[in-house]
Amino acid sequence: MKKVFNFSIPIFLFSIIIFSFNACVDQDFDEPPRDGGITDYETNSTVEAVKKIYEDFNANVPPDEVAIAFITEDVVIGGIVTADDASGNFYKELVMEDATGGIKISLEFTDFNNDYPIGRQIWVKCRGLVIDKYQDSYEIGGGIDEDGRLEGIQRGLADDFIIRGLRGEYIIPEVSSMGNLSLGDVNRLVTLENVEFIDGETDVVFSDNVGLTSVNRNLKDCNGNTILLRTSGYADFAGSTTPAGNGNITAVVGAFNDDLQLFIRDLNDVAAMTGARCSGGGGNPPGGDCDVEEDFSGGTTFDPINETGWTNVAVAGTEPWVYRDFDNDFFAHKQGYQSDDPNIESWLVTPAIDLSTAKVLNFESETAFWAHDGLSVWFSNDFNGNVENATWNQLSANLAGENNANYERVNSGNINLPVGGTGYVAFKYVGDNTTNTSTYRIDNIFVCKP
Amino acid sequence: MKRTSLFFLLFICCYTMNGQEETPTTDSIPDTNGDIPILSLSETELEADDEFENISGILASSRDPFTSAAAFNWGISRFRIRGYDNNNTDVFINGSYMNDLETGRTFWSAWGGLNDVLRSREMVFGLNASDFTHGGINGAINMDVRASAQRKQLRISYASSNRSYFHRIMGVYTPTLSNGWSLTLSGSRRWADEGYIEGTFYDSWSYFLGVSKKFGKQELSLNVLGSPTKRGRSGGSVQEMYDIAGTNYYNSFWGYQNGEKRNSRVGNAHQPISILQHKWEIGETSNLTTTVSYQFGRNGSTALDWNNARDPRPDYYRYLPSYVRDPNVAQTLYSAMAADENLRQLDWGYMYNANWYTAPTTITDVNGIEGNDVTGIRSKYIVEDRRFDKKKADLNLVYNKAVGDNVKVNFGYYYRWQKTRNHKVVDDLMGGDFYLDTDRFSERDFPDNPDVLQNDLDNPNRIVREGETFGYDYYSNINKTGIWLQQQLSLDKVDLFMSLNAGRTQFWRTGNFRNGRFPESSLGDSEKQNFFDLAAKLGAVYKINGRNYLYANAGYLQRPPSYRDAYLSPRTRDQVAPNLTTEKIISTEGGYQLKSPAFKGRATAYYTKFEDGVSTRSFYHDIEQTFVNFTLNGIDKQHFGIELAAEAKVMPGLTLHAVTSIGQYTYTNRPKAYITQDNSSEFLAEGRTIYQKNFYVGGTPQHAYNIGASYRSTKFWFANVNFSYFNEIYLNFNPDRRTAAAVEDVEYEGEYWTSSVNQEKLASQISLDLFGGKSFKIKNDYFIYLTVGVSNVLNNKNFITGGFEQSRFAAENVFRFPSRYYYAYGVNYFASIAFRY
Repeated sequence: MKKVFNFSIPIFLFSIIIFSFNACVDQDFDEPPRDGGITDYETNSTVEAVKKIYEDFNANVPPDEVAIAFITEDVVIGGIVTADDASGNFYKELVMEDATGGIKISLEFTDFNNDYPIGRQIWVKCRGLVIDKYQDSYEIGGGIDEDGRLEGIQRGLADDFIIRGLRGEYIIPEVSSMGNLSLGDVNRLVTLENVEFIDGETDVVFSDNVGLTSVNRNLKDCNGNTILLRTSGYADFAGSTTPAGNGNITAVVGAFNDDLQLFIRDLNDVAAMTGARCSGGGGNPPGGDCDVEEDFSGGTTFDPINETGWTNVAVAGTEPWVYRDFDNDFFAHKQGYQSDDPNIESWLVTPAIDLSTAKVLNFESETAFWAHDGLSVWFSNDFNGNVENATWNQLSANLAGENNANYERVNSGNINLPVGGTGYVAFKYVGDNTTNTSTYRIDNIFVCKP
Repeated sequence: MKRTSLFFLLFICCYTMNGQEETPTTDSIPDTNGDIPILSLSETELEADDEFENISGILASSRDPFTSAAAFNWGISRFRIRGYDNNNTDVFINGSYMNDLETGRTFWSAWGGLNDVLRSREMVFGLNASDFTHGGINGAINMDVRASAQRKQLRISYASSNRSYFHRIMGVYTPTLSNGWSLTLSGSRRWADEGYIEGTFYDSWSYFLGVSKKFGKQELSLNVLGSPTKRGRSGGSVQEMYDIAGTNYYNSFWGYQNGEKRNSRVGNAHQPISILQHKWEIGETSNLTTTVSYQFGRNGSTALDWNNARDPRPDYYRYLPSYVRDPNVAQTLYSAMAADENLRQLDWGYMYNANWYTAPTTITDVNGIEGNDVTGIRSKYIVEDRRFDKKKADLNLVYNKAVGDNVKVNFGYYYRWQKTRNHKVVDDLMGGDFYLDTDRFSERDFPDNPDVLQNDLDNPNRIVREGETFGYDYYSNINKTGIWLQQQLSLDKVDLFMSLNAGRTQFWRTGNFRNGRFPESSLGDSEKQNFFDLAAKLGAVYKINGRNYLYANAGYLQRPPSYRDAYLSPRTRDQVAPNLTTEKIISTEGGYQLKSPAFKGRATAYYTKFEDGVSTRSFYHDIEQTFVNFTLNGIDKQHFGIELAAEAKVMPGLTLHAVTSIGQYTYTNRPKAYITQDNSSEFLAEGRTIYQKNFYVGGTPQHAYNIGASYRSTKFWFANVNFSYFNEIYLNFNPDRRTAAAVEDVEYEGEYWTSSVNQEKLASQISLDLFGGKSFKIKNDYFIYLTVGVSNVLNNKNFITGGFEQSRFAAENVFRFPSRYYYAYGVNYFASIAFRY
């Protein structure tokens, strides 16, 4: 009996051990398949036809009653992605284009460039989606929210509506010019030849990557046409500076209040702008013929402002306006904080302005660490070099103030100067080093013909 | 008189020494023969991470019906004895202290699968006296694993279960040796391709070597044990996801990769323990036990990390139907997610492709070396391994002496040391070439300050590859030393004991990275934190007669803050919580016990007050894209209640029992919150008042009831049936929702105000469990044991055992970030067959 038992135990043990070692828990994984995309998918419509669904839906509807249209037919369109969210300049919306035009597709999820990068062929099965038109831009979405606004396509439903094709099928943008662009080009990718940023907007940041607000820059061509380039503060190139040269720009066309704008995808779109600038001036805002075009470039940080024809004087205290810069974008700067002066009154006065014809003042201001309204703008006809002896009238301008983010650029709006004789504009900072310590900056001061 | 004076002499000696015994006090819920896992979530760990769930491999050998019910039948509800946190029981193996010094908790998994050699143990309940430690408010356990204490046997068992693992093979061999030598070998393998919850694999081994040698009155034992374990984890989700998935066991952590289920949260731990023990019987009346132990090894848990890419978690709130504003689309999405499992699980293919198709980037001046440019694919998604690699040494000395027939004196000294490397390591680049060791939040917020975004400022722009450390890297250094002293007096009618404990705790942080956000407070040794603590216990038993006993115990304990709770943001800097101080605990218990052959009963009442507690927990904030740390300082709690147990033998073999625990565990004050985030030195809140007075301690039923019957046949079989009822279960709450700031913008006592402030009470639950077994004796030589346990026989799948409110919340609508819940398993079994020779 015992013999049998002694024999069985090793067999039992052996089989247990074999069983146990064979029982591997497999945790090695093969790489998943590549998402190369399919090569073809049948389409039965075009971008242009989809836009027409919206127009038909809203035909005969008064302008204040237009609404988002439902797409109820089996409409399939195909195109190439021309803008994604890789750089952050586009957010939750991609732009696609076929031979008939471009259109936006609104998505409710971020970082979709992993799925639909620029250059990828996609097909959109539109049935069940909706289409809206906002600021001349047609946009396909997934639904309508409770406020009647377009809601993007949900992440969990995206694969039901958007089919991924081959990557790298980049579209060749249509070559156009500022004069030839129209609202019909909205959401198209275009290349404009031989353009440049206007004087004063070269070598400045594309956008506000600190305050994270969008910023408009002005482009011009050599024929005096201009167009805005709008960039989100979230774009990863927002803090990069605009090129100084002239050349081709590639961008997606947008519109705001029926004025065309451009949106670049990344800096490659302006990489060609390295050529010689247009000869002669022209194209400066607000119009041509400027008495003052001051961007303070070429100054030395912390030195007092010293521009030809300008007057820079401290009436109270010792410190006049100084140069400061941010990424080589220079401006005039004044602050009470850490000043040596218990009382500050600093004036910065433009050169003489010929007011025999109408002139318009436009400038930008910023404030930071706001503690008080320290900046004001004044006008005088009888300034002769001594601000205290002149007669000053205050101008009404849109100035950076309490409600602005630190260093958020605020455009003054166009300010008409009184016609007649010779005039001067002054920027006056008043403060102290205890409580009225706000920082103020002014830049891109233009006095031009309207 | 003489004895009393001796006691006071020792008291003074003890009091004047700087050392002190640490007095962690917790309850541990011992496991039962069926390996019922006792889950306890560490509140100091990241939410949703059950990384430190404790699986107690201990078998409840206790005949005490209360302990037995708590272990066997109340485990399903995550019942905690007296509602105490789980860092409150001192656990020893061969006299060596096993609690982790950084958290105070016991990681039972370190010796998982070694049940065969852990059967001999001494358990101390509540405030009772213990011969091996001063003990805490919830007692202590010492497992005697000496080879000489093991039963001489060869035992092999196979078990099958549908819980964490499906198969278990376990064996122990203790031969009979001569010349005072003893030897025990044991090992086990536990595994499952998938446990009860989908996507949770289990892959564990264990080993045990015990050698001991007796030299006359002395014995030397060496034990080496370990349990290398890998397992896929599961996490609580929101009810909406459970409903969409159609199961309350939905697990968001896994997804298909090439048709195979891959879990993103893989625990991988192996921390072997070596223990050398010397026992010395000195004369007839005293003995001295000296233990030295060393433990080291890795403990890690993986998770996904990502940058410039969307949140890959399938239950991220923005992907759920409840976030969709168009109701028709919401319905469509709901149906789509219900129909397509891939929409509910991780999409590994998407993540790999996101990496593969990322354009190569050039990182300039890598490691701060000018011109050292590296070009390649910077992974958008990676798997990281968050590591807590521990080195721990322990010296423990216990001297017991009997003085006359009635008095026993115990004296103990200990020194404990632990150094844990906390860091994270790239586990899988998922098709990319490298990862960049920068803080992505800082990249966005400080675009013009390249220093700020560096996690390792001395090696800026560091690229990391698989196996390399990134993010944070620091050591926690902790040492504790102390002495304790106890006198036990046994008279005819009365037993008395008094004990004292004095200890010192020191800890500090050693940073290995100079963090770009905190260059001055992250690298090197921090200031050392020192705490002294004293504790005293006092107890008496009055023996009315041989069957009736009255007893009462009282204790006052001080407890230093745990390392994990003391630092505001230990990953990035060495700043400790303001006003750090020891926690004070006052506890009393008393009751009546009846021991008769046919009837056993116990009734206990207890009252415990905790003062000046501190807790820190961190959570990942998806908008801020950083860890937010929430430190609560000055937490007061009180726990009181009664415990009743009665057991009657109603006929030969048949025993009926009824057990009840009715308690009330509440917070009693308004502590102050200090909120920080990992990438900013500013306090998000400093001294914010938390209105949590009278809130309930969550995560355990405050009322639990059990009735049951057990039949033990003379024909070597037995069967138990147990019915349990649980009530007064509260959800753990997010303190930040109970602040004036949280509700300042919503209507006072309106719907959102109420939902934000009120604590959620969970439904009452029932559970029915069966357990039975039979043994066979074959040819007088060996035995076969069969046991089968079925838990939750009624298959109650709606049993929420706990969960948590999300740390992130929207004050204007608390429903946007609903609570996450954990559900108890439905019907589950454990069956084993064992051969013993």
